[in-house]
This record gives sequence, structure tokens and C-alpha cells, in this order.
Amino acid sequence: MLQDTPSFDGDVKKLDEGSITESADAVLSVRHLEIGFNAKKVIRDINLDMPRGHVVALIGPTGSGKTTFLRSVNRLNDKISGFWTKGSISLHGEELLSKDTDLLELRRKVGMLFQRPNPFPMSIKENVLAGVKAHRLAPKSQHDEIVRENLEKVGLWKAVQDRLNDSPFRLSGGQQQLLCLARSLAVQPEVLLLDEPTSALDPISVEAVEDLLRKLVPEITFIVVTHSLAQARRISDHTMFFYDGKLMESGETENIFNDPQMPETQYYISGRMG
Amino acid sequence: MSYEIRDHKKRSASRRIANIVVLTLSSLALLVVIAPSIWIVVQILREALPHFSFSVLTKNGVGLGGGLRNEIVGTLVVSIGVVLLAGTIGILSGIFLAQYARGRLASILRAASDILAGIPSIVLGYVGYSALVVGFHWGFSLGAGVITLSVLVIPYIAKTTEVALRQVPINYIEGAEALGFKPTRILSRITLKTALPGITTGLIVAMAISVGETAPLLYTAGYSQNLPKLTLTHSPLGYLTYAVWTFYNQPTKTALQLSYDAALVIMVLILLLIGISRIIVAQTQRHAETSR
Repeated sequence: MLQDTPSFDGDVKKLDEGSITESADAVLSVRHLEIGFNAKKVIRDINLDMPRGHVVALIGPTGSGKTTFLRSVNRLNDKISGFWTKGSISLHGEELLSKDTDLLELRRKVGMLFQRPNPFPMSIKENVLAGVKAHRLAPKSQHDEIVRENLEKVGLWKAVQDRLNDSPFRLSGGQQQLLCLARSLAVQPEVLLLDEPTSALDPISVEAVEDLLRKLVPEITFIVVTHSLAQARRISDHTMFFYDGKLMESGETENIFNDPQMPETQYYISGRMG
Repeated sequence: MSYEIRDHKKRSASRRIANIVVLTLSSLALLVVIAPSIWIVVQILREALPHFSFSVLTKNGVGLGGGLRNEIVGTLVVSIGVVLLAGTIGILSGIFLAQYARGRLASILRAASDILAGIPSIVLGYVGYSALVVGFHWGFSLGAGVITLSVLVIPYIAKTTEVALRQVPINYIEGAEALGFKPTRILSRITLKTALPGITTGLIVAMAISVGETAPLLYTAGYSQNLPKLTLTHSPLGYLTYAVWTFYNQPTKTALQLSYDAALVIMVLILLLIGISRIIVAQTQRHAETSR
């Protein structure tokens, strides 16, 4: 147990207003972000820049606020009663937390993959097309092509090409998650938020998903919440360590794991906490 | 800490006895449920089939004889009216209760709906009579009958719709939100579709109730041996339950036979409704998570 939380220093500081030029290639910029539910503050004054075209891992103990943060980026917490935010999250300089934000378009640009695979109760083909149809992204004549392209991207095409009209629930858990990924990719997002995307999968499927992420950058920026430090190490270029609602430390994954600056980070990655 | 465990044989004997008792009791309960249904079906078939002629379906009633065409068409017209009216209002109320109603408003609405559901049908019939037949000067009529029966089944449809909508997994809904679905699209493509078996079942049961209900119609629809006029007011019409109830008490044999014929037709209609609902459910749930 840690006695007290040290103040912000080190890595985080350079992200403050003074040095925004440094983050010109940031896809997401977060400034003075505070998030809470009623009187409870879950995220405290976070500042960060997500580098474009990389895999970013968010790590930290349970309750550190990483999932709350993730779900705030595409405004999925909006409907939860008592939820509030302060500060700013912007996508290419465009504010996401404003009342005028076009939520539907935001969610097209910033997709999400959940912990448990959640294909819709419609055919495999319709699942891939769900977002394409919702946003009217392409004429009907291109639908077959889109289905094929995205299923090929996730490596499912061969397995399902003969049963595109079947129920997705006959697929294995790993295949269902890949289908969900194909569904997200089909709307051509810039950022994909992944909330422990492999924690419900078997090891072989985990590998398939991880390989895919590596293959799909730099076209897409992935922000991955994970409880597996090994996974964070394997797949991410950058790692951000959340602790008690604060961004304790962030930097290149290699540096975070080999040379952590903050005592909390050292504790956590050495497996003595969380 | 250690203690002497009881003899294995004794334990397994008591477990076996418990098993037998539970199995016996639940089988008996099942029998109590099934036996009356079978008995009713057999009894109606035995009484109706020997003299059954298809002319019963094609001829109107004449006095205490003739056929049941006017009643059959009347029952169908009323039921379709109820499904259209009560179905629309009931499903919309269910959607409102499941998705939009919050806090005090929600509990008031639910309480009102529960109270309405608890009112005996004959009381509703009387209210329909005094409000519509007499109050609005509609006379015995299709409109009064449909509205009164609708009031009877709306709470039921609203409830089944609400429950069905609430059971839609949050996974689906969040998935659709995260993909940028509009709320209306989530409702139409995900929520309603997933809830459809529950909603359909509610509608079918409501329809079965309106096929089988008597009291509200006696007060509001009156009776006629002509085919129903498709006007809402001043249009008394026949319906099958009237034939069952009235002809059964008449002294002639043909009337008694007509009563059984009407019961047979009601039974067949209800079985058809159940069959149709099964088909709808099977068709819409081909891609459901739990295959039925």
C-alpha cells in the first residue's frame, strides 16, 4: 500500500500547454480532464497526447480510472446518471466533450471493441455491414466487397465465406471478437478503443487479435486497456500508467517497463501491486 | 478440525427419497396443468365432431339454427381491431416504460397500468357500456367493443413489451452505440428485434384473450345474426363466445350443437394463433444468441 501520492512531475509535465508543438502528431489530446460520477471523482486532472498510428496501452490497477477514461473518449458514459466531465479531449483539435459534438460521427471515427465479444443478433454479413449501413457509407453495390475486405483484414474470410448468412453465435469466442473487430474496421475509424479486448479469449485467439493490431497500425491508432502487463509489453509502442485517477507516468513502452520513474509504476510493473 | 462423517449409505438413501418425492410432486403438478386442457379439447371434439358440417362456417345464424359465419367474421374483425388498437398503444407504452420513463413518472405509470390490468372484465364492460354505448350514443357497436376489449389487454401488452425490451442484453445496445447507431436505429434494428419474441407472444395472448372474452362484448357489441358492418358506431355484431354462451342454454338440439361448434372454432383459432406466433418467433430468431 502506498502512503501518499506524489505530485505530478517528470514525464507528464512536458505535455502541459507550453509544449503543445511537441504533440503536433497527436491524434487525441487531453487537457486538464476531470471525470466523475456525482460527488465521486474518478479521473483527476489528466493531460496527455496520444501519438497517431501507434498502439497505446493503458495499464493500472482496478479502479484506477482507465476504463472510465476510455469510455469517455467516445462518450459512452454519457447516459450513466451522475456522470460529468471537465476539461477537454480533442481529436485532431476538434473538441469531443462539447454539447455540440456530433456523437454519431465521433463514434464512427472512434470505434470500440469490448471485453466480451458482442456480435449483433443478425447474420455474419449483416454484422460487418451494421455500421456501414447505419452511416450510409457506401452504396449497396459495394456491400459484398466491404464484407469480404474486412473479413479478410481480420483473417476470418476463409472460415466464414460459406456461411455469411449464418448466425454469428455459432462462431468461437475468438472468431466472434474478430468479427466485432471487422465490424468496427468497416466504418474506417481513425482510433479504436479496446477495453480488455482479449481477456475473455483463449490464448490462440489472443495471439490472433494481438497480431492484427500490430498489422493495422499505423493506419489506425489503438488505445488498449489491459490488465496483462505482458500483453502491454508485447503490443504497445507507448504505455500510460493510471493510478488512483491520475496519469502517473507515460512514455515509450520500453522505457516504462525498463526504467520506470515513479515508485507506483515500479511497484505495479514489478507485480507487487494491482 | 475433524468430525465423523455420516454413513455414506444413509446419506445416499435420504437423497434418493428426496429425489423421488420432488419428482412425484412435480409430475403431479404437471398432470394437474395438462389434464384439464386435454379434457377440454377431447370433450369439445367429442361433442362437436360427430355432427360437424362445414356449412356451419359458411352460413349465417338463423334464429337458433343456421351457421356461425356471422360470429366467426365478427370475432375476427373484433380481434384484428384489438390487435391494431391495443397493439399500437400497448407496444408504444411498453417502449416508453422501458426506455424513457424515469423515477416517479415511471412508478405512477406502472401502478396505473397494474390497476387497469386488475379490473375485472365485466366491470370494464359496464364502463364501456355507460361511456361509449350510452354516453357517446354509439349504441352496441364494433367501435365500443374494440375499444373496451383494447382497454382490457393494453396493460398486458405494455407489460410484456416492457419486460421483453428490458431483457435485451446491454452488450448489444452498447455495441450499437459505440458503432454510432442513432437511438431510433438501435431501437428498430437491435432492441425491438431482439425483444420481438416476447412482444409477439404478448400480442398473441392479447388476441387470444379477445377471441375468448365474453363479458365486455356482451355490454358493448350487442349481438347480430348478420355479417358485421364495418362501421364503428351503431353496428352490433355477433361473436363466437356469445354463441357458446347463449346457444348452450337453449332447449333445442341444433342450438346445443351450434354451441359446441362455436367452442370448436374458438379452440382452432387459438391453436392457430399459437402456431403463427411460433413461426414468427422462429423466423426472427434465426440469428439469436440462444437458439430456440
